[in-house]
Amino acid sequence: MEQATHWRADPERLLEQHADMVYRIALAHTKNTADAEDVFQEVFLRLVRHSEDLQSEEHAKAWLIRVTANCAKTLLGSAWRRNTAPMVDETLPGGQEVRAGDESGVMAALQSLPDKYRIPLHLFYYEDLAVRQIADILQESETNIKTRLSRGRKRLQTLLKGSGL
Amino acid sequence: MRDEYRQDMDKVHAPAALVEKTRLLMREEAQKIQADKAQQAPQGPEPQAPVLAVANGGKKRTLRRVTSLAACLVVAAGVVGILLLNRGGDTIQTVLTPGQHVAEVQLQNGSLHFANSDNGPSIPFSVADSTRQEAGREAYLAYLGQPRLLEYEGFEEQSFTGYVWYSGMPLITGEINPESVTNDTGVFTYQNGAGEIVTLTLSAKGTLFDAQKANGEIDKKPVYTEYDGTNGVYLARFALSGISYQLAGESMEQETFVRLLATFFE
Repeated sequence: MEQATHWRADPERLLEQHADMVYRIALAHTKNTADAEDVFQEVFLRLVRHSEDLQSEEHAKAWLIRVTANCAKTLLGSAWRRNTAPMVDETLPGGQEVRAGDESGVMAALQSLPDKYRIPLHLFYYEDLAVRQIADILQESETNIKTRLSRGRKRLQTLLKGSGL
Repeated sequence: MRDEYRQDMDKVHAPAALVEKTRLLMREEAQKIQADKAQQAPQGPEPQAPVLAVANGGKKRTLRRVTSLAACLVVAAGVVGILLLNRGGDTIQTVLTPGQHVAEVQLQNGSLHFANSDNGPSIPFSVADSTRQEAGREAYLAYLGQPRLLEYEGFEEQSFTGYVWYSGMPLITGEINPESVTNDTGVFTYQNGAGEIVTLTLSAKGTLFDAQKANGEIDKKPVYTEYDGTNGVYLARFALSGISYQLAGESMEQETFVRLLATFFE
């Protein structure tokens, strides 16, 4: 409690610490490096403005995940985005962005899932968040998240079986 | 499957150049915030008349309906845009505490007053620097004088998307979707460089928001205000001259939202 009282967010340290996490979540949402980079910058600029509101490391991490999800949603839902097409195709066939290695095919398969399955699965598989935390971040009920995780896993298995992996 | 996904994702890293660029932007932002806090006088950039152009498009009958509504939207949009542009060095002082977001709001003698929920003393806000507001207003009037108000793109069936550009930057993006046109309702979303997002919904149906009980007033006009703490969104609904408005502010300070709200009643 004492620690929480005196904890003070250092935006640049949080950038160093959570850059990869924010980028991965942004990429999981947008499936596009250019958009993910936009989201990334937006999130950390917001962090500067809201750093005084953050009360602990855990709070900062949860805040970053939540704001990343919100920024990505805002970007994907913007009128500009819905009414324009990129001049160059920045995504790979099938819509998946695989800048790094993708040897197992799980990442590509997961990225081909609809948002409602892909995002909870990423947070659960990679960020090790509990169902309750995911529900809180995504503003959904725990039951809903459990259902999405379950259905998402099944879809993922079906996709991987279909691809022979 | 989880381990495989983790192994794949472990190879994905935020590009170093992106991190470095973001770090510099964060420092600039932090300096700007500090300067804003330190300075009483507004220091934001002078508003500039936007570069506007109109491209050819079809379906002029629908366009006329849309442009009449869009013109109304653009008036409000310009005011909002200019205010967002000028937000540096806000002079508004606030001592509002959490939980006071839903409160009676009154504009008195050029200042906004939020009454405490427990009927305590009202808290005055100095709305804005009058000189700066006047400069913004004049700039916007000059902008209105331009023969072409909107650049529009994506005119497809009844969908219309308008963009207003400030110095070549898409400061304001607006959209009226088919459903909105049918219902004489327009939705405009604005986002400035600071990440503040304002969504303005207008409807020619003056009764659109009547279902919402007003919980305050500005300049003796009823206003419904609320704060969605979960999503960090300020919301106000009101009707002026037969037009219903819904103003939502996301990722912005309460003072900024209050100032935007006040401009509709000036």
